[in-house]
Amino acid sequence: MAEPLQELLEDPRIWRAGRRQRHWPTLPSGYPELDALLPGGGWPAAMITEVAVECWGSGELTLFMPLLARLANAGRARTATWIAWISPPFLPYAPALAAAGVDLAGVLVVRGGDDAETLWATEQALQSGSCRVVLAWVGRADGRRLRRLQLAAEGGRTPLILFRPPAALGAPSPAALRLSLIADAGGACLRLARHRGGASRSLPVAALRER
Amino acid sequence: MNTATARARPDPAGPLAPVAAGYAAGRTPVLPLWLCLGLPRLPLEVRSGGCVDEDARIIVDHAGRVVQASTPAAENGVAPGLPLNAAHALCPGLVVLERDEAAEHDTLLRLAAWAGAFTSVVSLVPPAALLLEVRGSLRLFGGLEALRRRIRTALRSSSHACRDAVAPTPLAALWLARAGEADAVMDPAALAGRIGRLRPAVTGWPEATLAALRGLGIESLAECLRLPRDGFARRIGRGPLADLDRALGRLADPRATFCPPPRYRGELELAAETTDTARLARALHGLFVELEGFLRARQRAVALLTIRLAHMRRPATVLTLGLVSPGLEAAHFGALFTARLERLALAAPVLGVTLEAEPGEPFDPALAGLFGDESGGTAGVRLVERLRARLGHEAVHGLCLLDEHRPEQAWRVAEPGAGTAAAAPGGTLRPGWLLESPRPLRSRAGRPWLDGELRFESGPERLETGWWDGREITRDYWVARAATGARLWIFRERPGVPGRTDEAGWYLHGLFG
Repeated sequence: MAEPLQELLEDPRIWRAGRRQRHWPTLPSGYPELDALLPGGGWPAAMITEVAVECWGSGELTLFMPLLARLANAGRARTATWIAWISPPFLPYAPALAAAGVDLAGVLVVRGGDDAETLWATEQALQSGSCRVVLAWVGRADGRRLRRLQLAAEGGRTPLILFRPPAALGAPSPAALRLSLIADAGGACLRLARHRGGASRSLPVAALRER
Repeated sequence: MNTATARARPDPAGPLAPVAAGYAAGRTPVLPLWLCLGLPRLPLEVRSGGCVDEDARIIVDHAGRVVQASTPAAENGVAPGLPLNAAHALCPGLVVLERDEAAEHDTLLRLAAWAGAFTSVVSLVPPAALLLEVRGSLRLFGGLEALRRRIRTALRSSSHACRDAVAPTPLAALWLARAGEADAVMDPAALAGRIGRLRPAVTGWPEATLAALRGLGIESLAECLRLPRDGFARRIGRGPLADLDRALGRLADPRATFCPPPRYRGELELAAETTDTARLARALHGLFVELEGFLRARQRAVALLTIRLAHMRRPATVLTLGLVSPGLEAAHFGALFTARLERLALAAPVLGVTLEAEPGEPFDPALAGLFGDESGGTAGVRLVERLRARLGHEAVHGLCLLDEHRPEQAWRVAEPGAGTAAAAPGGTLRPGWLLESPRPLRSRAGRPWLDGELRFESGPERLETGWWDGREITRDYWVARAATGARLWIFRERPGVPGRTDEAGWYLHGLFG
């Protein structure tokens, strides 16, 4: 009788106040300072990371480049092939990706016409289990669609990095981790807006040095 | 000459029945085993597009007599053989369709091609039955019952009603299927007993012959078999006697093996005009199942499917489904078609669908996964196909590097997974985001301006190249920081390029994301 209850409480999706949070499996971000900041010491491995970006060009790709490069050479490369970019706001520039060590053969750029198509394509990419990571740029999305994405990410064991406008952080979301990149004249600042069972912290992006 | 051939010629004077034992005592090697697939509802099915029993509908022949009635019509008492006006009187609101024998024959041919997935020997029995020699397929499909289940499931999913029967001779299998006797007859010795229970009508002999048998008080084939051979031949005819001998395996019964056409073309008329995509998808699923069998029989895969949706008084809508890697699974075709259909605005209701495919390269079973699951590589390819089916071919692509100094030409769109043609450039800093085309920036006092003055962080990097192909660039690139904190990749067009007048113009070309 006690066992199912225990199992339920061990579920990483349940947060209990006053108890040290057991963290979800993570992937190292490649930046020691960032790993120290992130719960569990890295990006969630099969969940949504939501990043609110105030203005493009404030380091939103820099944050994830080491992850993309690392995943390209990871053992899963054999079974999962793509690094999916779904509806990016600009062209991902191939020479920069190659210079950062990202395997270009695995890059899959998908241009969805609107948010509905972007969400659909994201869900397909997660469900197929053939992506090492999915990066998606989504404007409007309701909680139900996001929850579906979360389930698809868990089902396909694929991390999803969702870039959102800052206003989207006001709405509830099933994301394991919510960050915002706050624009500043001297360089953007990364703030942990909210994550499951943790307080908010912040870190200037310019301070990040790759390990 | 051995005993088997000697016995194959029946003794003209002896009784008909107890001879089958000689068959079994002959050569022991593998006896054929025939599976007959009867399609009792074919006339209705070809005119109803997968929705046979949705409303009261009948098929009439050119003389205006009912050939077949759907279940709702039959419940109202409409039976085959009734004249049309009687049918109308019994069931008001009846949908009356004329029989289309050409379409029935086409469907039968397509099903024969599909049945090639189960055995290499398929023979047609027009108008509505197929004979499959399945002895050699039993091991592959895990036994007779497993094979029959598989055939039934596939036929059901393509919305064909079927009756199947198994016997050691083709004619016996056909008669058992017509009678709806599903129990397989494996032993030739048991054949006479099983056939004996059937009524003479299952043989399809002419009405005069059947009437003559009725006149003799004969109700079953067993009674036919008990008659003396010469008497039977004189009164009833040599043809029926030969048929009985063939059914029992005493006379050879060679069957022409069906030879499938080189390409697949399936056509289906819908029950009624429709814009309902679910109904269209269901109708096409039947064709996809046929196509899968057609391809499996040949061990071929297709890379391109052409689907025509026919409209009333309008040119047909033509859809082409391209597959990144050739495939043959009906379920996969169906998923692609559905994704495609969701995006399509139908110009008019659809009357009928046509599916065409040219079998391409040999199918590589290694791609299909050993246990029917998708291996990672296949799942990746499937994902690309699914995305392209809905978003369009151009909307899904990969990236590749080119060995080129001009930033616009240092990369290009590639097929997903195509890899890279050049080595990664070293040394120079490149932004993660590139604008589709450089965006002019305003300048104030010679300094670039974007919602505030831009501060230079590093530069200039001079790129002066491309004079040989007319797209020469002479630019100084800088990394600059905007008032918002964004790092930008901007350049200044240097004066002196022939044909350029906007001197010292500033452009935004990328962002350091």
